[in-house]
Amino acid sequence: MLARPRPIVIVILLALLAYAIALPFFGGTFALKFAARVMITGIFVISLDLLIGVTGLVSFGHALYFGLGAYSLYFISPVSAAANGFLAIPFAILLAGIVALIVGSVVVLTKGFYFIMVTLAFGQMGFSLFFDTKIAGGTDGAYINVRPVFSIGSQQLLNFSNRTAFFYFCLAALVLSYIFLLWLVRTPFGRVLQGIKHNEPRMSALGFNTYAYKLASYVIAGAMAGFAGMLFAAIDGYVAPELLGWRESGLAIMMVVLGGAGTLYGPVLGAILYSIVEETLKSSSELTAIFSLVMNGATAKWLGGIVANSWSMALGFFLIAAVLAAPKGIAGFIEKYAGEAKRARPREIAPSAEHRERAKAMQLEVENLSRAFGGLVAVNGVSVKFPPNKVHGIIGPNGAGKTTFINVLSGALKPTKGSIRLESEEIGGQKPHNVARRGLGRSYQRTNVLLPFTARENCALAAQAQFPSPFRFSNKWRRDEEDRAVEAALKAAGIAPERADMKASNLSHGEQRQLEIAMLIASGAKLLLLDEPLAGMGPEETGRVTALLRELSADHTIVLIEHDMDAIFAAADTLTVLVEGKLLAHGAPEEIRNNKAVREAYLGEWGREGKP
Amino acid sequence: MDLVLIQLLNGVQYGLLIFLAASGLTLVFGIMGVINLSHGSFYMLGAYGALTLTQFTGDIFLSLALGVPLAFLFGVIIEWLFIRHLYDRDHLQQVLLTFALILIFNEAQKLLWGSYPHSVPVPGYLQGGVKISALLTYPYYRIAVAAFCVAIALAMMFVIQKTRIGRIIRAGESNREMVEALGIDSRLLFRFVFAAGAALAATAGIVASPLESVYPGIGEPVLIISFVVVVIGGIGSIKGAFVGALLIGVADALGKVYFPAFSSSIVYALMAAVLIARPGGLFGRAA
Amino acid sequence: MHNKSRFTRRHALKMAGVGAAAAAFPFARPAISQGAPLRVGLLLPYSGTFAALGTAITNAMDLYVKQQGGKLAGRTIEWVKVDDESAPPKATELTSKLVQGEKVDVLIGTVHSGVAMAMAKIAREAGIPTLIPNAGANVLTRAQCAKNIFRTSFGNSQPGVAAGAAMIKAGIKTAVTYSWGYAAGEESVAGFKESFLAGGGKIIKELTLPFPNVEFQAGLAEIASLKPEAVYSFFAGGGALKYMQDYAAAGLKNSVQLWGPGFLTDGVEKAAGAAGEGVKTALHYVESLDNAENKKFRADYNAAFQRFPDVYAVQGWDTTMLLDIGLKAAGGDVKKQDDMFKAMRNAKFNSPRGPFRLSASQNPIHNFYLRELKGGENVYLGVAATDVSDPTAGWSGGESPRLPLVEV
Repeated sequence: MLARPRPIVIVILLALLAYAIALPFFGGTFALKFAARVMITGIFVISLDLLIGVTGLVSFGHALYFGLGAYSLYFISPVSAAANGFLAIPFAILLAGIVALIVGSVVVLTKGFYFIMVTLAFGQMGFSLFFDTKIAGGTDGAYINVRPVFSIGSQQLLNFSNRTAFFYFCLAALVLSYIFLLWLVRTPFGRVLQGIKHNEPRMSALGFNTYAYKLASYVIAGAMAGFAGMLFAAIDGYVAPELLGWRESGLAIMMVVLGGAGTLYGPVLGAILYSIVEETLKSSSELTAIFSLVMNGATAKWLGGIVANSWSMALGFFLIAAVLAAPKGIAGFIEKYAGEAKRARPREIAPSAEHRERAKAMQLEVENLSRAFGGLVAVNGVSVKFPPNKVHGIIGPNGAGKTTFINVLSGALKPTKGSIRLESEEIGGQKPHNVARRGLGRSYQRTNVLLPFTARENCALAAQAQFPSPFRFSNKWRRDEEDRAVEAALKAAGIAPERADMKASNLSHGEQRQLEIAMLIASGAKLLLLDEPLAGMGPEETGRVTALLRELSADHTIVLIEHDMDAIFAAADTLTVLVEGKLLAHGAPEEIRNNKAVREAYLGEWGREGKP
Repeated sequence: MDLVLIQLLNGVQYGLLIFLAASGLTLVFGIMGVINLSHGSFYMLGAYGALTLTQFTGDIFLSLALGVPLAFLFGVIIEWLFIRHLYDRDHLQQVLLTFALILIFNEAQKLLWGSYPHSVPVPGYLQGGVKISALLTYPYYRIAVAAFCVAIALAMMFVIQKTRIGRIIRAGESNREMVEALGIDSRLLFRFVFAAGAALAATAGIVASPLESVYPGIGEPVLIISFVVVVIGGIGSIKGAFVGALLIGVADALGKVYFPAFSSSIVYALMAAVLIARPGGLFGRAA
Repeated sequence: MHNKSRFTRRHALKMAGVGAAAAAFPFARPAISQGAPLRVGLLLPYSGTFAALGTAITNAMDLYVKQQGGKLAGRTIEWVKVDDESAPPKATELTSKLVQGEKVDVLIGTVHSGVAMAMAKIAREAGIPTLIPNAGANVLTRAQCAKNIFRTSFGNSQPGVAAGAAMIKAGIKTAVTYSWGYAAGEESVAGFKESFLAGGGKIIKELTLPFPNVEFQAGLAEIASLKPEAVYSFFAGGGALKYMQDYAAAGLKNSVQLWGPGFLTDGVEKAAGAAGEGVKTALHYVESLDNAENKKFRADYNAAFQRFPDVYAVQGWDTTMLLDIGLKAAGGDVKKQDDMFKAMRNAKFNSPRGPFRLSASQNPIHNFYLRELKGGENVYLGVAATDVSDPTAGWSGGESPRLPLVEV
């Protein structure tokens, strides 16, 4: 999970800030303009990093909002008078935000590469709107004749025509944008976005409506890009359709990657580096000056001329070198030498006297449930009842439809036919997050925790899922309650306190499986669906987890798929046998062991020997 | 002939040509998982290569016979120099590196061939065309190109469905580990696939050069439209690329007649519509 | 060991120095002292689709200055080149780099109209002497004209006006227009309509294709079904080449005449081959123009660059000529703007294109020639229209017609 920037990063950022603050005292007009443009680009690229680096949505159409913001200033500016900045800024943010809401509601339905392409498509449609029609000057672009002025009544507070004032405004806007996003990604809301990036199905299964979170992230990023675009239009008062085009979108991605996605400050450094490198490579005089540091003047001039003449090729080689040498961008380069980030110490909280109530769990009832894939019927007319506060095992040969069965129960797959009732409520066909919110939690056959997060952070996200409002920005609300749930879950699942603050990727396989169970406990689920929780465990771990399941059944209903026959027969209260998608038998372990049909179809030798 | 019929004909022919360009892209993306932004550059290099080769050979089809192996070899070199470092990296770095390759190829084109447009002659035996209306002739060369594209499409589907290399490719598409399990060096497979993708793009550039003429930046629209086709058809699906390309070609041709003001948005609108209805493309697995 | 570490440290210091220099350079620039060379900023495309045009313009300007011994009005000329990539989003910044960063004395640019719009914006604010050697956007010398901005090329509608007049003269009564649906194409078609309709012609349909799309088949099929006597088309560069080839291959060449502004054939005369035979265009230049300036210019240019000049080179040549006139009037001091601008505005000279002078809004008034593409060459058929001017009220004498951005 995104930590606060390390000291070395803070030092670098403060040094850059000091340089920027001092710039108006020694830089010329062009220096200020150039720096203002870089800072505006900085705001644009960190807004893109919220999508790419934080939420994991690679948008190839982000310039749509940048360009809309720029055009919004054209729309709101009178022909020969200044627009009021107090109106222009909210207008830009609103216009970009509303379009982002409309476009976003469609594009976040897609994933991965398809998301990249569908955002590109909407970006190009936006470009065509301004390029092929006359709504704002068409192909040749349009002028904003007077820059915005901030005034209340007749009192003028700030005029963008004043270069220095404009420069400081952009600087402040960049700093505030950075701080805002840094705060945002560390709120409960932002933590969910980060979870979605690493494992969306898991977040959904925990009960988060990932669609709403992704859409919110998309809209926030779009609105910020609109703000940046409005500032861009104010630099020189010229807007062109190309501002919305794929090149600008692509350039922003370059800067994010060059700087280091997911770090927020990295993309800003990327924007600075890219702009300076491009600027330098295009200028033979600058190149000559640089080369003359290492060679004689005539050679330097000759070489400078050649490089500047083919500057785009030089830029290409620079980018290749950068991506090969620093795969995680500038930020990755810095952090490699800065060592592992320090994480905040867990808060001390007073344990409550009795935090786990022994309570009645939930009953799950399935009737005539079927699920087909084309012609293949994976689950075929299964009817079974799982009473509360019991451990229910599901067994069957490979390909019997066990995992499909669980996927249908959890909402990951829609049933073709039949009904699923949790207590008395029908949950069949509902979205996974809705099913989860009713108290059904699940684990996966392959370990499915959020690897870059610590065990504690994983559980905190799960605990947060009890109250998963997409717009939850306070770290304080419900915090004690959640922290207690996390502590209790970690303890109950047997995660040692000294392992709780390690990244999940550094935990052993067994510990990761325990962590999955801890997450389910922390999430407050009352019915747990576990897909082979014992897979890959040694005898000692198996014993511990089996005991844990027994203990959990005091206040949970547990349904698990398992292949370890010794363990399941020992742990389960009831067993359900699936063969070729059909229910073969259901009953107490002893009944199943003695069931002839089950022995023939599945248990075979193991059953006959009558091993417990 | 009726105007709408003529437009359908144009759309199909244009679609077949973009299929040729898009098929390489869908293979590279589907099998290797590499987003290759420099795909359009191979198309451009094919077109410029055809210009130079035809000056020596005098016939576009001789240039094709020479150019395709050269393009394959060039693909192998580029894979060895750059692309192979990307397999374990995420998509963003592939985007950055292949974007850098575009910059380099464009500049190289300017240095080698200059900035003026050139044309590549249609061979003498394919001059002229079929009369399809009072004033309109449909050129033989366009018909030949369409036939060639159909032949390539059929050959590709045959290779993918019926041959050993096709089975390996299909295995690689669904599961990279499975390829390793079959005892095949996936590095070698990837090199082959990338080079084949480059050769397909160059093939499209070569056969299109007498139609398109040759000028700087010729590869860029091809890149974008190829991505659109790949996405509509479903990543990795040759059949999908074929259907997607025809769909785009026809939509574009008809759009130009019925909605001239919005014709540049039509292909994008079509793609967005397909993805909303089927988020994994027409013939792809849902992502 | 010791040596090695010292070397690496020194090496690292050097690298850091290079980095710091790179970081500082965009911002730190020495002031230009009086009597120094005259710095002329060139904002032109040196990469991308229009690179050939930028190069031709630059070549001709360089040739002119070299012939003057490297000096204009006694001042050594120093070119400061910036590649504008024909990308409008970068244009204002690149112009600022030349004007405020490089502190050039004169600004020359550019080819792409959108980039020129952006450039003109900054140029108006800064008041710097500015010459436009190609971009034809009408508005630059209409509503947005300014006393410091001069165009030596053409306004987009001018070639259209000339072509329309020539088509009427050729007895054509019905036409279809087919062009890229962006500003340059629309303005060109508007010019054509103006004179063609005035002469009693009828326009059956106006077809457009989004720029820079080159799939012409749909439009060609429609033209064939509309059966006009002629087609007026604005396409340029690689697109124009492909267009002529598709037009010929569709069999339209023999039944429907193809007309256009000269950009349809310029730069692709040879490449068009048989497909281009018989295409008629109107432009303010033709290779075989019979005047002394043109003959000398063609010979000199070919000797210097092993290539014959095109219309863009001529525009570059005239740009330098106009600048020379202005500088001479101001005694080489660009600060004397009144003298310089007055001389430039009233300049009349014989260009390779024939007589050249400027309108009130500082757009050329010049002849347009009717040309026909034959055997890889634009053959001179006669004058299509004399003294073509772009209609405009012109610069009113006071401030520029529209409010400039105010710098505090």
